[in-house]
Amino acid sequence: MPRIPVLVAATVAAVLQLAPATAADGASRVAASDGARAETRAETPEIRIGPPASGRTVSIADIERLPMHEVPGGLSMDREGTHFRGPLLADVLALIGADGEDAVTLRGADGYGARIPREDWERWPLVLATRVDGAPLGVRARGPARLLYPVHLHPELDDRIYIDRSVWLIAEIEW
Amino acid sequence: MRVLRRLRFVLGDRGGPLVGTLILFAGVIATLVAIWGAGSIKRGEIDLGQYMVRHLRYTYAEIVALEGLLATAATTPGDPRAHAVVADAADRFYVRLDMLDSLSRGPMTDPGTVFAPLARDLMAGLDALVAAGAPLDAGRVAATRDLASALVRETNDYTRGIETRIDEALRRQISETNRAWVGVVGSVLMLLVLSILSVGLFSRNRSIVSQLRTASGRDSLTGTANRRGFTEWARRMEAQDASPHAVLILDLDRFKAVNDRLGHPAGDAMLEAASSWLRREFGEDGIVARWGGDEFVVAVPLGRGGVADLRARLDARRARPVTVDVGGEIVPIAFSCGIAVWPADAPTIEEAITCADAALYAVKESGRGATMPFAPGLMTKRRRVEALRDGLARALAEHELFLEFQPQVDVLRGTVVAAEALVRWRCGRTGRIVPPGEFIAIAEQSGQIATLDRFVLEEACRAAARWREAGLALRVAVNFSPHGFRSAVLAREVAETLARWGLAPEDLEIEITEGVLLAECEQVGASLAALSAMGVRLALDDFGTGYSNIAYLVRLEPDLLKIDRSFLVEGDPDTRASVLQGVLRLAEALGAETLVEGIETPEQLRFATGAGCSLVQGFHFARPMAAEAIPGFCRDFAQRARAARTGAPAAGAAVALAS
Repeated sequence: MPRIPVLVAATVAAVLQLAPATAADGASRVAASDGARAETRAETPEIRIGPPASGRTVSIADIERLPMHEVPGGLSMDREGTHFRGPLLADVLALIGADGEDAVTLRGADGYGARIPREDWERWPLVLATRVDGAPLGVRARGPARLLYPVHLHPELDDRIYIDRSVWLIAEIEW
Repeated sequence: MRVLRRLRFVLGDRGGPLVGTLILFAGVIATLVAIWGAGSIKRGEIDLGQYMVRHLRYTYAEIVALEGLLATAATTPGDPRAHAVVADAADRFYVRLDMLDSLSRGPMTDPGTVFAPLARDLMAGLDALVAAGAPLDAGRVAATRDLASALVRETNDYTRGIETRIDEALRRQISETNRAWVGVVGSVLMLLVLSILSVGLFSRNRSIVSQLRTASGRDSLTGTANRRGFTEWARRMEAQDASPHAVLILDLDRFKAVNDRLGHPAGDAMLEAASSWLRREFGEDGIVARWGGDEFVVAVPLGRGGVADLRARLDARRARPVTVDVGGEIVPIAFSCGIAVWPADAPTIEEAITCADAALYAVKESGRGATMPFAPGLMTKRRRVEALRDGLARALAEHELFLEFQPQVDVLRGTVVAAEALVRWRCGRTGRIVPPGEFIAIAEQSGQIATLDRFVLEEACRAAARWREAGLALRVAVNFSPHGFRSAVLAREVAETLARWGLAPEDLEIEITEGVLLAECEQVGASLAALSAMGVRLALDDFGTGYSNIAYLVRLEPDLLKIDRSFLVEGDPDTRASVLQGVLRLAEALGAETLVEGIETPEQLRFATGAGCSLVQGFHFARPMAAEAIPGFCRDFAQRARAARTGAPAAGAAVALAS
């Protein structure tokens, strides 16, 4: 039986939701099993906000009214040349009234969660991407929203800490 | 260190390079062991396993949720909401699978698991189910659910496999950690031993260097010549009949005190400062050698100024001494010095050193801090002192000491009142009687005086006890050294001795000199007071020769003043008489009796009695005699006294004078 250490460093980086760019073609492989499959998607996806069970939500449409920024797909399994668009996390937090918090927790639909400290959104232009190459982010593209650290501007963000914080399938912003 | 010594013994003197090589070799081994130990801790393995388990945790949850969802959908396939829920679940499963697919290792790629085909089938099944639209097809739901159930089992099995491997890895890590611990501890111990060995080798190297220096004639501390170097130089000088040289031997005063109080580094600094001064002063045309301890020997050609010039130079230095800063304290270097001249004082330089040493000894005797040139008398004196010092110890041990007694008589009453015990030493080897003046001073210097005093007291009491048995009421007087009164047990010893011999305190008279009174020591006063309180008589010996302080005298309250014989011989008769009468009046005022010592002639006796002193002692009556002779003397004296009183012209001229 091969030893676990043979699971190379690439695996280390591929935490839970995120995987290295080298596996960018993964989506196509899975998709290839059923090319005809069309994605189903709610008309107006919403994200729960505030403390658990507060009942507050914000819609993707609302946050897309904020100034949009473009980020190239980089670290994850995103295909080379993919471009994501979305508002800055800082703007979204201001919109939903969480800009005074020291940290917020982003939770994915699959139960994954990560705590984003204030200094992250104050230091870097974190983008809460809602679109990929112009189209809305579907669930299969890990939508309706995902957090992207600007690795293309700040190579130091290519680190496990920030990879772990790059939450996708965002369903909830909790504080 | 003992191990090292043994090692040296085993390896011999040539072991150095071998030991060095061994240490180097062992050091390399210890380092390799340490590297091996540290290297055997591998952290990555479990780290990777943990990541895989985290992946599988989410995967497992996803698939279980999916299976439950499909189970629910199977019950109500017709519900249109079921389609949306399944579609959403299918999307999430897609993302999950996409994620697992991107891993280079994991359930999708590992051989030995059917996770990947099952998962792809399930994805395909879900896609087909959703693509068929609402309502859900019950048959497809059931088939998909079966696939999900199978995938749950497979995920479970796969996860368990990973966990087993993590457990194995943990066990392996524990054993590796243990090995590493052994390795690291082993290498640390090894390095410790090696460093001890290295320190040992280093110190050995230093001692070899110092030996080499010694062999080369240099002192290892001060860099001056050592004995060997000096001796070689002296031989050359003697061989080439060099001009006369002054040989100086210098001893640093208070060196031991500095060494004891401030530590050896301070002592070393003192030696170094002294040697550099000596080399500056004499090194140019002479030689400076460290003779050992704090002694230096210097030899310089005798200039025109001769020894006097050298003394002047040394005295000038003594007035403005070289100082050395030891830990913030400025210590002036004081020294004593003896000088001899070669070849005037001694035919060889070596003997000249002995002569200079004798002079140095005399300087030390007289209280240090001076320079003295050698004189022939010094050598014999020193030799005699040394011989006496050694001989006295033997004499005390071998009973070569004995007592003689000199009677003290009352010429007015015609009785013998007391006998003064005088210690004598007949040298067992030479048969010579050593004068007390010689050996008592030596006993005081060498610390044997207490033993001597005890001996005298014991013997004197023994004699007195015998006289008592013979029916004589006779006091015995003993001389105690001033040192003795500093002993806290003196009074008790005296009391015990008296008791042992059955004597009353009044039977004993202790003679002290004025020197005792000068000692500023509380214990001296306490001893005297205790003896006095006990009833022992105190006599002040040699009165008039010291610095009699009236206050001391009053405080002492002596029972007897023994007036020195110098009062009998100094000055003209009239002055003598009035001085003596003055002393007698003083004694009367103090409440003390008086006794004149050293009466040797009838004239002296006449003078003493004429002044009013009836107690006398001296050759005129009796020389010191053995204890056994005392009773006979007493009988004779009494007879003569009676004869004189009755007018008989017998031999008792002395008594006749008194009447």
